[in-house]
Amino acid sequence: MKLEGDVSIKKVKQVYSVLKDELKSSKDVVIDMSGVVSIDAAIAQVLLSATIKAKEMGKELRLDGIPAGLNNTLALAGLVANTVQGGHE
Amino acid sequence: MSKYIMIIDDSPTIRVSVEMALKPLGIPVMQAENGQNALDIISQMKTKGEEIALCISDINMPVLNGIEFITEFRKNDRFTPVVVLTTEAEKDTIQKGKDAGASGWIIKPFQAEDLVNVVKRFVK
Amino acid sequence: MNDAALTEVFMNESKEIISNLESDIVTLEENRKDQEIINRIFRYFHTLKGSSGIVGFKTVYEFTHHLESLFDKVRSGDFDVDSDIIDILLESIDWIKSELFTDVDSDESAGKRHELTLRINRYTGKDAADSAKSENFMSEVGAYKGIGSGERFFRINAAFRDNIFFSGIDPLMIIEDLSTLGDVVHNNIQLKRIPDFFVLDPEQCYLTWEIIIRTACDEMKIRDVFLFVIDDNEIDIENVTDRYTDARQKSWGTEKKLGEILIEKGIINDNDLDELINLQGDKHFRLGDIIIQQGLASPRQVDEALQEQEKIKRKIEISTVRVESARLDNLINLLGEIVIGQASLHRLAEGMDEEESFVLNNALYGLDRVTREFQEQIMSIRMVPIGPTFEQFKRFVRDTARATNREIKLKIEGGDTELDKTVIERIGDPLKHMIRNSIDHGIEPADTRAAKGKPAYGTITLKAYHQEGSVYIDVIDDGSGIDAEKVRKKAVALGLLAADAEVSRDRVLSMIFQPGFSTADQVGDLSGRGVGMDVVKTNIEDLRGSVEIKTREGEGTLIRVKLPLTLAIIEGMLVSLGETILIVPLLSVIETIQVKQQDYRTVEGRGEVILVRGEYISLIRLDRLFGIEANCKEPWEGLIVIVESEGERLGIMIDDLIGQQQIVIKSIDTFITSSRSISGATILGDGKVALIIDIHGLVQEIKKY
Ligand SMILES: [Mg+2]
Repeated sequence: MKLEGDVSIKKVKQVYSVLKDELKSSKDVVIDMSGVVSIDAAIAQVLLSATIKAKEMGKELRLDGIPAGLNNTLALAGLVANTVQGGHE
Repeated sequence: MSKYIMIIDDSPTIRVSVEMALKPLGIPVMQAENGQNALDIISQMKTKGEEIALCISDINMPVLNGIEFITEFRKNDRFTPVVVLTTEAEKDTIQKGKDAGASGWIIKPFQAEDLVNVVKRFVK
Repeated sequence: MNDAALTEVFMNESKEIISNLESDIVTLEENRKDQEIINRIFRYFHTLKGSSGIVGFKTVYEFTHHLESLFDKVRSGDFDVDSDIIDILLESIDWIKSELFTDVDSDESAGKRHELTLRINRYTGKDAADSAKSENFMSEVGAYKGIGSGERFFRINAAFRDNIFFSGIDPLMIIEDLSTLGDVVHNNIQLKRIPDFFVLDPEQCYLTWEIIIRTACDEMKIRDVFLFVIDDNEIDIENVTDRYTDARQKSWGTEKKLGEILIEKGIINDNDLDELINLQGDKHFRLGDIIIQQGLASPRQVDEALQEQEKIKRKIEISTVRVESARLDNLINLLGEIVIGQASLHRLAEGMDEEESFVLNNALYGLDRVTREFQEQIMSIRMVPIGPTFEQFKRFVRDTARATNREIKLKIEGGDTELDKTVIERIGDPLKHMIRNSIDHGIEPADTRAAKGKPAYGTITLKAYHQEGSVYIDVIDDGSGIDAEKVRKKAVALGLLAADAEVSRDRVLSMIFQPGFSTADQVGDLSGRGVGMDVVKTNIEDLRGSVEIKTREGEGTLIRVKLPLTLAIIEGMLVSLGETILIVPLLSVIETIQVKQQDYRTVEGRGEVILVRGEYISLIRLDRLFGIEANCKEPWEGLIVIVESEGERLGIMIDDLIGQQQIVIKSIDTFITSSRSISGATILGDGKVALIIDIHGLVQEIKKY
């Protein structure tokens, strides 16, 4: 699946339901993040929860094509592997 | 889809100064002179597919005050942030604002920099 | 937009607020318990304070703060409005006006401000030292930047409430904000709190962060990040810098007690106090000031009452969008272009054979109707109620009455009558003049009135209404009236009227509007009646209006101003001179007559005149003035249109009368003329341009010769 633009609480129900279907039907879920401008906590926690679920189900959920500008946000949301990182590069 | 910040205040001076302060952010600012006026503009914008990214609303206004505005606004929009503009003498209105669904507040008079900092907490 | 532009916005806003305040305060003087007015006055001071603070008018900001406090107390019923408060208010407004709009002597101004502040403080119960300190409050907070020295470590535990998204708050953005203050050395999200993916509610928040940050900022700056969430979420900020102790903590002891007392009373809470102490910084006395500021918070009950009231009000008030009037003028000009386009289409249609033109004419008929409606709509946008203009005289009447030792009530009727914005802007001065005359020379002192069996207080009524496509404004006083016979004698003496002239009483009275009618020569009640009345008439005629006077000796005077609904459309009389069609504004036309040869003569110093009912009227030959060809060479051959401006009557020679119609004025600058006698032009149905005669300008032009 592909996320695009400002992905926020306003779209979270939609994202959640697509993700639910993906998790049920596909083996691995790859989310194309290349078009994402921003995400908020609501989206982050759905992705976080889905990641945990995928692992439980023996599947993999992968965020692909993360724009550089989004790295810090995703790290703070615990969505990229290294959750400990400096705020200043 | 274009994004807007809306400033709702019965004082044109406040409205213009907010618009000036936010200019560096590059997000267009719309002005409304009271809560009802804002609701009207927002519903018009909706029909054009334009989105409000943030409302900055005064409390003490004629026709429809800030608290009433937020209450009405929240009926149709549960998630868009609303920041109330208040004075240091009105601290109890901050709680009323929060109860109605406000996201934050700015104390008048404000420095442009403070305003920008607050806005940055709500608009990416 | 720059600072100068902002200042201008502020100046305009303050002018409007001050004018509203003056009117409301005078009304308040009569209705001292009117809660609606009290609330409104509070809001005006509140708004003025806010905007003057923004543009940096520090003295006005500080001063209006006191006035706001005063009215906060009035609206919560702490004390009643008495005449002392009214005086304070009016003097305060005078101070604000001079501070904002004039070059003031700063020492004198500061002296007056101090005096007024002391008088206000007598009501609000603050001493001068308190006010001085609270005035400093904002600037010091504004300067606070929160950068300390040295490196510190803070541990932040942030558990957000589950419904936080519904407040429009994004916790992730707060965490990002935090991360910009330093280096995040540890970040952990408690995954256990997040429910199973398939059962979670994606609109609820389940996030809890534990973060350790290394930063140069102090704790207040960290707290500041959580400012909007710290009260109703579990936010725990701990300074974990080794062995770090805040030495200043001890010195806060006494202040803390003050804070604790306030916490017990439920006035502030723990978090407020923390914030306060942080705000306090190194200085001792400021916590008290800060709390004073908070003590000023408006009482809940009154605020709710205010909201109730505004709820009712908003049902009545209509929401508005402000538009620059220049944009409306543009629309009107564009409309003029459309009308011209239409006229040429009409002409095209005339040139076609009947069958062809039928279809076009039909289409044009529809277009004409829409254009007319369009025109009416645009005009209606320019219309504003006269009420605020009337209201602003309340104070003027009060002050002038006091100064002349009279008791006068100002009655306002028809305040919602709408007029063209331009007319409204320009009618204030003439009205003020008329009111002034009524006070100075109409309304008698109380004892004189009592002797005449009249009420001790005089009444001036301002009344606006629509009638027959015009707007009327009546200025009525129940004063002594004017003696017409005295006016006639004076007019004859001044050579304005022939001694044997058979003229109506109205015509005699209208002499008052003649320039130079009034002199220092005092004639009983008449004294000064005419002062500036010629100016009043000129001003009103510039607006294409007219003015008449009715009076009954001993009972009072009525001055009736008649104004056009709009300045962009006039009712015009179409007249012809040879091939040329000209338009005479109907408002200026008295009558159209035929003269006999024996009533025509040439008078030394006045040139050609005609005798109309015993009065000599100067004759105007437009053909000579405009260099056009006329069919009738002698006055008795054609018709004479008698027009009036500035009390002066003129007879305009014309060949014939064509008719009357509504004329949309096309701004004259697209046509070439330097004559003052032409005020504009319009396009007639056949596409011809017809010039509109400016009677007022014509009179001026004639006088030159
Ligand atoms: Mg306000």
